[in-house]
Amino acid sequence: MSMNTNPINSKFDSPILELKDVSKSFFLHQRSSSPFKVLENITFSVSAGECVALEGASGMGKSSILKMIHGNYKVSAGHIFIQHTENNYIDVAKGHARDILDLRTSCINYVSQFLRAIPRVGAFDLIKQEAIYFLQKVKRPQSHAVELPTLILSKQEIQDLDAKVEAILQKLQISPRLWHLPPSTFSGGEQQRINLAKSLINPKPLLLLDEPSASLDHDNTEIVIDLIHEARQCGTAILGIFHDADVKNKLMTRSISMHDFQPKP
Amino acid sequence: MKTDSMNISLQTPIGTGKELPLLQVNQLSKTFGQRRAVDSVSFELYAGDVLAVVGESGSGKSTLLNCINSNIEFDGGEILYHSQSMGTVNMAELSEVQQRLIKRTEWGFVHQNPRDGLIMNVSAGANIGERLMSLGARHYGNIRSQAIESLREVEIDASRIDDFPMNFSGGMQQRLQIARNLVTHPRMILMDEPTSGLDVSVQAKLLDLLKQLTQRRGLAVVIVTHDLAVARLLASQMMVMQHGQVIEAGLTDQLLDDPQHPYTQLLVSSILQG
Repeated sequence: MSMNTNPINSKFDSPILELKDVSKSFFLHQRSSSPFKVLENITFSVSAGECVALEGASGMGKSSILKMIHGNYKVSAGHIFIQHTENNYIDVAKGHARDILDLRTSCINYVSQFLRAIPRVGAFDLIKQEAIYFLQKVKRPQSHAVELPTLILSKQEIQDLDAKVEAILQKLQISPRLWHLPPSTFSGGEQQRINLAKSLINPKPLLLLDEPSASLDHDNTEIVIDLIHEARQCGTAILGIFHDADVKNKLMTRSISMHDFQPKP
Repeated sequence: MKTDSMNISLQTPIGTGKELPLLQVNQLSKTFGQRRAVDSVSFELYAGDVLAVVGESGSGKSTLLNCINSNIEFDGGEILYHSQSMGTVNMAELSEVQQRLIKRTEWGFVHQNPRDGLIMNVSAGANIGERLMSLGARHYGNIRSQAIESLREVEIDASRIDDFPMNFSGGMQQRLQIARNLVTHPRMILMDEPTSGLDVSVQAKLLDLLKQLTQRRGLAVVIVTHDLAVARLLASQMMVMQHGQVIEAGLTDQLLDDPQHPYTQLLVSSILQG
């Protein structure tokens, strides 16, 4: 099986991500007795090497679309297909929890606005853990496994991982003094870069970005733009929300207006 | 008590490329008098899955866990386990000896109170070694070195091996209980509120440890907790229980970010923001 060994080898012509007639309603049982629709008729696709920007004011449901794709929000209707392996798509809207988890480890990188850190764990180890999970996925072909072997990494593999983590932290200009401190103590901009590093350390076919440069200064924004640009040129399909017009113009290859997805009164 | 074993092979021909569930709980029920403590609960657990069972006190979470571990006899449903030695077995149809063997070698159980899972008046090393010796290990040197290895894995200094657990702090006792479970290299661990008796900093340390252990060992875990933050941190999948029934189940972050059932919504909206 060649699965997962090289995540970015998809054909450029078939979309990595495809949304078909997706809609989203929320139902707050304590507040009302009927659901209210927030999004409808979402149909679009994103192919390898594209960077598509979702455009629209706050509250129009941009983040909700990313959350549905990532599986944090339930899809109320429609389909969200994500290329799992060549010619094999998984519908996030219908997929079992395990399918979605599988997609997340092997196919989707999602950079949210907030960093969810594990208490006590330093930034370096947090990023390294991500790389280990990914390696684990590659190393443990899951078919028919009732048992997963204990993961033992060789000295060389650990050295390679350390070097990879160091490289990305240096690239994102995180001071080595901070590497072994838990990121909950970091500034907003530092946390955001750790969050990016966590994703970018394992290139995957689909990258979802929720305001990747929101709390970054000019220099760091340029670095982040470079990294995202690099990912796109390697064939990553990117769907993003960029409030900063400059960032958006530098990165996007196409935009989609949220106006089309607002529910008709 | 049944003495003969019956190996029930799984009938479900799960499609090619799919894995076999390690544990399959079908329509499990348990009543105490008139009250249905566990009401037709079904779920599947695969290798590497971490499943959190959440709900308020009295919702049947712990009873469910104790039924799975056959600490309590259940009245309805079945528990199928894909064992290493016997293939897929119906736990209720195994002899007590066979049940005990599976529970000692392939399963682990972490009690909320470490005192329930440890022998308090023998040394830490003996607590770990006891599990090995019950499986026939006799070589003192091997047992001791495996005990040291287990202690190291839960970050207890090897110099404490001859100390009694009653002289350990709560957090250390809990880690020792985990070490005792790990020494036989189980494939599945059941945990009943493993962190709730600990103060916040110790809890964080234990959660981090559990997260790394489950990932590295590829363990399947069922963890009962009332703490949704613990569920989010450790578990990829979650089941919400109310009055003995599973009212919502799925991806942990989907259930927490976009709960559908009124009770889950109430539960999630009741979290204090730290």
